[in-house]
Amino acid sequence: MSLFDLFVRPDPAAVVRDHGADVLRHLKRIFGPSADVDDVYQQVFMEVLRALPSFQGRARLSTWIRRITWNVAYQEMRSHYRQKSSTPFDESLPEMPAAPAPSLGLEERDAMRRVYDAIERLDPRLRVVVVLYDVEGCTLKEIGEALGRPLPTVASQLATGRARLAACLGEDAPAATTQGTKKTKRMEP
Amino acid sequence: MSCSEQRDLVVAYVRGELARGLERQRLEAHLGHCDECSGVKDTIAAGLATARSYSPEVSPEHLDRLASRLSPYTEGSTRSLGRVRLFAQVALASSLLALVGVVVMALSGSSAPVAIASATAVPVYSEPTPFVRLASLGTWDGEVGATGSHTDILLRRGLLGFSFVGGEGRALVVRTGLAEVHVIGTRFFVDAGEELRIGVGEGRIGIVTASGVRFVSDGEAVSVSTSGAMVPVPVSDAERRVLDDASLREHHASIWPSLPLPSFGGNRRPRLERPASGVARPEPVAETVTSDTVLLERLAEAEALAQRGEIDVALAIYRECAAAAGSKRPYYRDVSHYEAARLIGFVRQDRQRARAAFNLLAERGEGEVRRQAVLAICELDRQADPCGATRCLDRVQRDSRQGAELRSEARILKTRWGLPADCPPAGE
Repeated sequence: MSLFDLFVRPDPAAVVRDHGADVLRHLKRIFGPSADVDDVYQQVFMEVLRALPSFQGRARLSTWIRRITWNVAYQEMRSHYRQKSSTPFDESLPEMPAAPAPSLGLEERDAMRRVYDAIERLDPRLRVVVVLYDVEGCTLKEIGEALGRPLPTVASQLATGRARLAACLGEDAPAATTQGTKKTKRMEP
Repeated sequence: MSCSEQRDLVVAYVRGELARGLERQRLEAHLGHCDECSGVKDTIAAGLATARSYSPEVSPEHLDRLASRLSPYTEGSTRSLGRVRLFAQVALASSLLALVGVVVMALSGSSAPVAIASATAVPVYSEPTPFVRLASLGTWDGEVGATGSHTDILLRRGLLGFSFVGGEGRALVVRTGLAEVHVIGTRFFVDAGEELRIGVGEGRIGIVTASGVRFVSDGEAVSVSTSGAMVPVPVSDAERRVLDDASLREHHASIWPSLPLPSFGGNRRPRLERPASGVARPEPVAETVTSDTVLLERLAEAEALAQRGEIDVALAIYRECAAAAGSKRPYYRDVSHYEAARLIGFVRQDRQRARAAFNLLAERGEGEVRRQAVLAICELDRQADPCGATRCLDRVQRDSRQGAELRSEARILKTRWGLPADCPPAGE
C-alpha cells in the first residue's frame, strides 16, 4: 500500500457521502428537473467506486467525479435515445414534466421545460455537449477531455446542437401549432 | 436569410457570443420583424438562464436512501482501510512535529522570509530556433515542431509569450483548438485558458478561425469564441507580464536590426503580383508565412468589398489570390476559387459558371473546401428548384465516398433549408 493510498486516497463511503448531493444536482440539471435520475446516480457511483483504486490524485476528486458523471450521463442518453428510437412515433412525444421547481415563475418553468424537451430530442452526441456547455457551464476543453473528443469536434458539435435546438423549438412554436402542424418527430443524428 | 438560417445563431446570440458585426446586425434585424424567431429567442434565453441557475433541493432522506443502495460496495473497504490509515496518520503527524522542531532550531537566528510565491512566477524560456523565443509563466501543454525555417507550435493549454523574427523564408504558426495564428515578425501572446485570448505587443499577426480572418496589431488583443468570432478585450495582468517580458523584448531587438525589413513594413499595403496572362511564371521562391499572411489579408479585403457590393473588385482580388497561391499553396488557391464561384453563382446569378467551378473543386479540392463545394452545388439547385436540391443532398447522403461529416451535414441542410421531403425522381 502506497503513501497515497494511506493518506490521500478517499474512503469509498466518504466519497458517496461528501459528493452525493453534488452528483444528484448535476444529474438533475443535465437531464432536467422532471427526470428520475436515481438509477443514473447509482451508475455514477458504481463507476466511481470501481475506478477509485486507480484514482491518482492528479485532478481534484470533485473534478474527477464530475467527469465520470458526465460520461455516465452520456451513456444514459445514448441508451435512452436508442430505446426511444425503437418506440412507435406517438410514444416519442415529449412528456409533460411535473412542476420542476416551485420557486420558479410559471413562464420560466415553461421556458425551461420547452428547452429541456427540445434538448432531449437531440442526438446524444450533440445533446451532451449542448447541455454541458450551455446548462452546466463547462468549457469546451473540459468537455473534450471528459468525453475524449478533440476540441474542434466539440466546438462543431456545439454549433450543430444549438442550431438543432433552435430548430426544434421553432417547430414547436405556437405559430406552427395553431396551424395544426406541430412537429414532434425526433431530430435524427 | 431564412428563419432557419437565422435560428442557427440564436443560442450564441442569447449567450452573448455573437460578435458585433454583420451576422449580429442581420439577426437583430430579423428578430425585429419575425415574431416566431423572436419567440424562439425568448424561450431559449429564459429556458437556458433558468436551467443554468437551477439548483434543485436535495433532501437528506433521499440521499440516505440512495447511499444505502450503494452500501454493499462501500462498507467492506471502509473497515479494512480505516485502521491502517489511522496508524499511518498518527505516525506521520509525529514525524512532522519532530521535523518542524529540527527546522525551527536550525533557523533560529536567521530572520529573512522566503518568498515562495515568486518562485512560481519566474518566466521559463525556450528557443526552438534562434528566431523564436517562448516565455511561459506557468505550466503549459503543447508541442513544438521546427523543420528548417518553419516553426509550428501547438498550444493546448497555458499562457505563452512569443518573440519571432521573420523574414528570409521563416515562418511561425501557432495552432490552438479554435484558431491558427500566422506570424510575420512580432512579440505577442496566446493565452489558452478558459477562453482563448491572443494579443500583440509589437508588429502584427493574422488569426484564422472558423468565422474568418482578423489582423491584430500593436497593443490590441482579442478573445476568440467557440464559433470563431473575435472580439477586442483588454490585456490581463499576466498577459501584460508575458508581453512586456524583458527577455522577449531583448530577443526581438537583438536580431531584428540585422535583418532586411519585410516588404510590408510601415503603412504600405502589401500587394500580390498579378501574373502576366497566358505566360507561365515561376512561383515565388520564398515560401514564407508572409505570403500566407498577405493572402489572408487580401482574402479578407475581398470579402469586405463583396459585402459592400463591390463585386468586380472582389472577384479581381480572388483571381489575383488564386494565381499567387498557385500549386504551392493549394488551400488558398481553392478558397479563392470557391469564394469567387459563390459571388458568381449567388450574387451574379450565373449558375452555370459557378456550377462548373464548384464541380471542379468538388473533384479536385481537398478538405473543407471540397466539402463546401459539394454542398454549394446543391445550394445552387435550391435557388432554382427545391426538389433538385433535395435530390442533390440525397445523392450526397447516399454517396459512400463522401465522409461521414459531409453526409451528416447534407442531412442537416435538408431540414435547415426547409426542402420538400417527397420529391419525384429527376425527369418526371
